[in-house]
Amino acid sequence: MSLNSFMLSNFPIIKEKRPGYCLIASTYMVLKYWYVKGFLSRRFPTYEEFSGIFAHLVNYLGFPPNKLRDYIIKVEELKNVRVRHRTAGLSTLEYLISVGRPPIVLFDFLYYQQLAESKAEHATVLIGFGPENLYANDPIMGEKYPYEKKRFINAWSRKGNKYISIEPIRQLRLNNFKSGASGNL
Amino acid sequence: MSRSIVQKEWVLRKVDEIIYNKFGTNLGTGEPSFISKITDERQRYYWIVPLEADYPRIIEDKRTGSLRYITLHIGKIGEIWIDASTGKPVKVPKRSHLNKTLSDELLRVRNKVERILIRTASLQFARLISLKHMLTPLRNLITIILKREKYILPDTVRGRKLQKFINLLYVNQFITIERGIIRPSPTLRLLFEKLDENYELIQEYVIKSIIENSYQTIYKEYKIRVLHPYIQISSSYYDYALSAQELISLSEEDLWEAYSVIYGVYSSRRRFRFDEYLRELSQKSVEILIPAGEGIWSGNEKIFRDLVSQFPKESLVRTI
Repeated sequence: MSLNSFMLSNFPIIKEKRPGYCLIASTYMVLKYWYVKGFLSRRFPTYEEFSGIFAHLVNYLGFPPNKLRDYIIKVEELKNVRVRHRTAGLSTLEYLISVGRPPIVLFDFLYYQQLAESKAEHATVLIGFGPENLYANDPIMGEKYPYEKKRFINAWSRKGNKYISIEPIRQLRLNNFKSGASGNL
Repeated sequence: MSRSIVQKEWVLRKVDEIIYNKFGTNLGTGEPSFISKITDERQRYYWIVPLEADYPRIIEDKRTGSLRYITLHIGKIGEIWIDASTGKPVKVPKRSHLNKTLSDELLRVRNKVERILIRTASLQFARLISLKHMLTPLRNLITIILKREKYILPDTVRGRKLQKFINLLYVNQFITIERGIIRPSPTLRLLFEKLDENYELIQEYVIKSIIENSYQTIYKEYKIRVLHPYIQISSSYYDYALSAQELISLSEEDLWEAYSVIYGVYSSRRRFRFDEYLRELSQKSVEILIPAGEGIWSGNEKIFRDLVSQFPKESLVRTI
C-alpha cells in the first residue's frame, strides 16, 4: 500500500550559511537522527566539531560527496554505518522516507528557485512528502521546507537523480524498515 | 579503418562522476570540445571537458527576514581530457590546483570591490579616528607647511621618520621640494583657500587623496596598516550587498562570518576588536556602515549607489 503523505517527526535540523557546507549539515542531521534512535555507538559530536572534521576538504570547491564515508569514520565506526550513493526516481525517495530512512538528495537549487542553470549542487535531507510537495530539513531554508514535486524533479534530474543514504547496519539487518519509522503529516 | 569514439553524453557522465568522487559540489561541466592530436606519430582523439565553478553565497537580510541564495558565476577553472577511443581520463587536474584557481578568482572579485570602495569612500576612511591618530606626523606636517609657507626637514631621528610622509605628500603633489626646502604646492594652497583655511578639513582632504591614490604604497611600502581591517570589514559588507544588489541588513555574526570567509581571518584578536571597528565605521562623520537595530548593520546608501554604478552586475545571479 502506498502512502499519500508522510512526515518523519522530531527530525534534527541544522542551518548552515557557509558555502559548500550543505552536504556536511545534511549528513550531520541524518547521523543525529540515527543517534537519537540509539543506533550509533560513539559519543555524538556537536555540529561545530563535526563540520570541523570536514573543513579542510570543503574549502572553495565544496565537499566531494563520494568522500563522505572516509570522514564519517572519524565519528562512527564504519562497521556500524553504511553510506550508499544511488540514483532513483521520486517513488524510491518517497518509499525511503516512509520507512524512516531519510535520503540526502543533491540537486540544482538555483534551477529549482528560478530556472537558472547552476554548476553548483545543493544537498538537503528529505523527511516527508505530500501529494504536491516533498518536505526537507534544509540547511539553508530550515525545517520542513516544502519543495514542489514537479519543480524539484526537474532540478534533481539536472544533477543526475542522485541521492545518498546513510544508515546504521544494525537497522538494515533488522530487515523490517517500517519499524524504524515514526511520523505523520 | 573507422574507429569507435565515445559519445559526448557518456563523456559528460564520466566527468560528472570524477567531480562527484574527487572535487566537490561547487563544480560542474561545461560544453565539451572534440579535438584530434598527433601523439607518437599517431592520430589521437580527445574530448576536452571544461570544469566550471559556481560559488554559492547565502545572505540573510535581518531587516526583511528574507534569505538570498546567490551564485557567483566563476566560469572555467580547469579541464579534463578524455581519450575519445578508450574513454579513459588522460589529463585530470589536481584538486588543490582547482581550489587555488577558484580562490584566486574570488580574490580578484574581492580586490575589485575593495579598490572601488577605497575610491568611493576615501573621505569617510580619512575621518577614522584611528587613522588620524596614526597619521599625526603627516597632519602636523600639513599644518606646519601651510602656516609657515616653508619648512626644512631637520636632520634628526624624528626628521628621518618624517621622510616617508614627505614622500607621500610629494608624490601626491601637495608639496614642492627645492634644495631641501619644503613648500605647499599650488594645489594645496588652492584647496586650503577653498576650504576656508580650515586645517581639520585640509588634513582630511589630503589623507583622502593619499588613500585614494597611494593606498597600496602606504600599506605595502610604509607598512601603515591601521586602515586595513576597516577596509576589509566594510568591503565584506559591500561585497555581500553588491551580490544581493540591495542595501541588506546583516547581523553582527553574519558580518563577521562574511569577513572571515572573504578574507580568511579567524583570529580571536580580530574578533575581540571587531565591535570597536564597527563602532568606528559607523561614527557620525564616517558612516560607512550604519546601525540598523541591535547588533544589525546596514550600509551607506550613497556609497552603495556609487559601487553599484561601477561594478558589473552580469557576473552575479541572485535568487529567492
